[in-house]
Amino acid sequence: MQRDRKLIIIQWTGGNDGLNTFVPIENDIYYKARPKLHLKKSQVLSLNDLYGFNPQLKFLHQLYQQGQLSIVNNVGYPNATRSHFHAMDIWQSGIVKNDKKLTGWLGRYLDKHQAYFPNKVGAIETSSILSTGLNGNETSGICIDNFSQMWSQLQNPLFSKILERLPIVNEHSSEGLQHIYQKIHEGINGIEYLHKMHHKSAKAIKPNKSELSQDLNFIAELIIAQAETQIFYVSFGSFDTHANQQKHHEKLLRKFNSSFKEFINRLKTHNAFKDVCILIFSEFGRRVQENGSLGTDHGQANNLYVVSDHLNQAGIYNELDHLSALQDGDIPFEIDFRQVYASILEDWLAVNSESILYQKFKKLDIFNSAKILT
Amino acid sequence: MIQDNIHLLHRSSFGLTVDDFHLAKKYHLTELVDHIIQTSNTQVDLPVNINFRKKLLQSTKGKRVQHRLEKREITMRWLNQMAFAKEQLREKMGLFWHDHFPVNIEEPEANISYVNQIRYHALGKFGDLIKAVSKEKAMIKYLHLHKNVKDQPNENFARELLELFTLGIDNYTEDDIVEIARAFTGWTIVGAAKFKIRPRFHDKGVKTIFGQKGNFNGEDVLDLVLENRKTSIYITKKIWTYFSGNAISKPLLKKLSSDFYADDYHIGNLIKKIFLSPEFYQEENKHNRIKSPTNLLVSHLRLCQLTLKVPAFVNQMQIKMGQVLLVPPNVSGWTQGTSWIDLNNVYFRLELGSYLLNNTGLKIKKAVLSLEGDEEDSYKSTKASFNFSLDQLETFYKEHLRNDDSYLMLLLYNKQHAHLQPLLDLLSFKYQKKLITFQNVYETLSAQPEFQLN
Repeated sequence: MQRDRKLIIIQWTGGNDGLNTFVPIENDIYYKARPKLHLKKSQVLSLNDLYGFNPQLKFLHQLYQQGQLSIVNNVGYPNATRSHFHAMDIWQSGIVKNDKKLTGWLGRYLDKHQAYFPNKVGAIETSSILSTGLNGNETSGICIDNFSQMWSQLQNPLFSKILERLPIVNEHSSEGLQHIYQKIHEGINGIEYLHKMHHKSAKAIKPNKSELSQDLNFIAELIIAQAETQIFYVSFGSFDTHANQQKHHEKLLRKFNSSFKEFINRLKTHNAFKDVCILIFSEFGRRVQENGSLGTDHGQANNLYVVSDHLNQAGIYNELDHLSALQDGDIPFEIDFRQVYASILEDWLAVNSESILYQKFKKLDIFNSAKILT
Repeated sequence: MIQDNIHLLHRSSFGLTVDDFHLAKKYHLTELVDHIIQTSNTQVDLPVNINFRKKLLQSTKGKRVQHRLEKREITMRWLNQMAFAKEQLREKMGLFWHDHFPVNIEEPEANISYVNQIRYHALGKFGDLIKAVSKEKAMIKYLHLHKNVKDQPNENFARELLELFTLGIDNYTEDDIVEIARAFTGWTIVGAAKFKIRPRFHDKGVKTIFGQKGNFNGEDVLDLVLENRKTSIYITKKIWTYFSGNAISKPLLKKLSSDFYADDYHIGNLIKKIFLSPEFYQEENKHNRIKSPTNLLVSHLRLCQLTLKVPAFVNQMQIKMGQVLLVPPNVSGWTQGTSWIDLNNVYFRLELGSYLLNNTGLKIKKAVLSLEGDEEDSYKSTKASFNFSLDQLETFYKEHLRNDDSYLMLLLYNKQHAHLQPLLDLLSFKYQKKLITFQNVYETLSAQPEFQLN
């Protein structure tokens, strides 16, 4: 395991329209299926002769040119569901077959490596509710929606008064009561630790005000301070563009682009970009054919993005589906998303993926291990 | 012994009210057990036609959103019912059966019918319960029983029936599942919620189930499963653990389960025997059980005479604490015990009382909300979220302030915790000097970790 390597997951919640993000500018089927919603060749940010980025993704385009972005196409899994909730469970658990007890793939990673996180803050989600992704059997990530607020809440003398009783309780009480006192104690310790780390970290000058920027800034500050936290989970959306997609979609991508740019540039300034790998995904893509309300409905396979300084094959990892043999109107899957997870687990976090994904998946050739070792 | 009575009341209900406390003082244990069971002889149904506030939207997507909102409304009414029904034991078992037979479907009528059905049979015969719940639309749809047809059997229901509902794992073979799925072929729902067997889709052939050959249908399978003693053991163990919080001893399990079996699976009688068994009152079984989020919330409602009013807030609280009724994590229900509490919910759980009494809203990220599709509903005036009255509790507090504040500990925490005495002394001092209000007192008392258990 590589403790100094960080993994940041950015979940584009709601099902991003991959086709209007990474646009196949020479594909007639795309233009036929999208009489109103297509992006013209002249509008996109050119990637090569065949593809271009949505004009809002200037910074991703820049990362592409610098060899720090990998675009993986046609990612999905067999018998895809079009339900947001079910699809999200599948992506976050890393288990396609409905499992009895739903744990997350990153939660199971935490379970196996608890010892590396003495302050019990191995993973953080910037939200008020923990997603399945970070939920393990024995341990889980913690969610932090607004850190300063959380920290000040914990300054409530109520909690320190409660903890004064910890020694008595440990000696005289039921297991259940001890468990609760223990959790309060761990939580306060963990948050104190993060506060200390965060406090000493360099702060952004004039940060972007958006929620996403605030989340990413907090993450950058912990990474720069070399806090023990290794996994960060951020969700952004909603990409569920059933109607009047274009304006809404562009706004989301624009917001993402500016926050993400600020984030990566900060990491670069502090020489911390080399320590991170970022995975950007959505629970499904959208239907190839646009619908009657200037939007698109839920689809299946989609593209995803990996950002890192250690990419073996930066750029377009595989060709986008030619769209001539769709699966119920959707892009069929070619690469199983768990192959991406296996690659991240083995080649980035350097752990055995089979014990976490319960199955052996063929890795993608995303990371340049030789480059990482130097 | 008042302590035993208090323990019994905390476990057989969703938490004590001041009136319950007086009962605990008045009755002997055996009388109290009878009283608890008799009070639950009746049942109040959730109204079948809940008058929803919004009109049904036309599009499929709109309908789904509408259904989700209606589900929240049903859940809120169910929670209020848990809080204020006099039939506390029945309601408490209703929650147990929801966890045992979990469902997660959209249609409001089917959800209401299911909730009423599991509560109606909650203390009756397990055979009647399982036969009724297996024919509920909510169950048939949730476990795809309607897709189980002769040419394409679907084993979903058959598997869970054995693994989770009756025998428990390792007490059957994979072949049993295949054969049982065949026996249930043709079960479906027609119209809004009417159960029907479609003969054309039913496999009339001979099946071999638990080593017996026969032309079994679904109903026969349920009888076979009930004939199997393993079912009585599995259910007895689970009900014991629900009430006692600890594992059951082997001799007691043997006795209770064989009585349960001989008694034609009468749930109420089993519970009565549990409540009358000395093991139930052993020290290690007291105050060791972490309240489920539902139990925690409802215990506040009962103490503060508080009625929930805004479904969106109720939903947020439930999400935050990890138990949304009618939305179980999966078919095995919720994981009970210490796993209810982790870093992500412990502070919220501790401060729930103060959250409820102060009407402070939760903030949930827009991305999450828009996925849920009801932003407009979620930020309605927080003023009208709850009705509450602390009067009865305050009177009780004042009465026992000087001479016996151990009563307060019994009421709130089931037990006299010596380590809480300094806190109680401090609060009553401040209250008497009028430095703090009774609401402050309640918020502090209910924020103690001891309130998280019963």
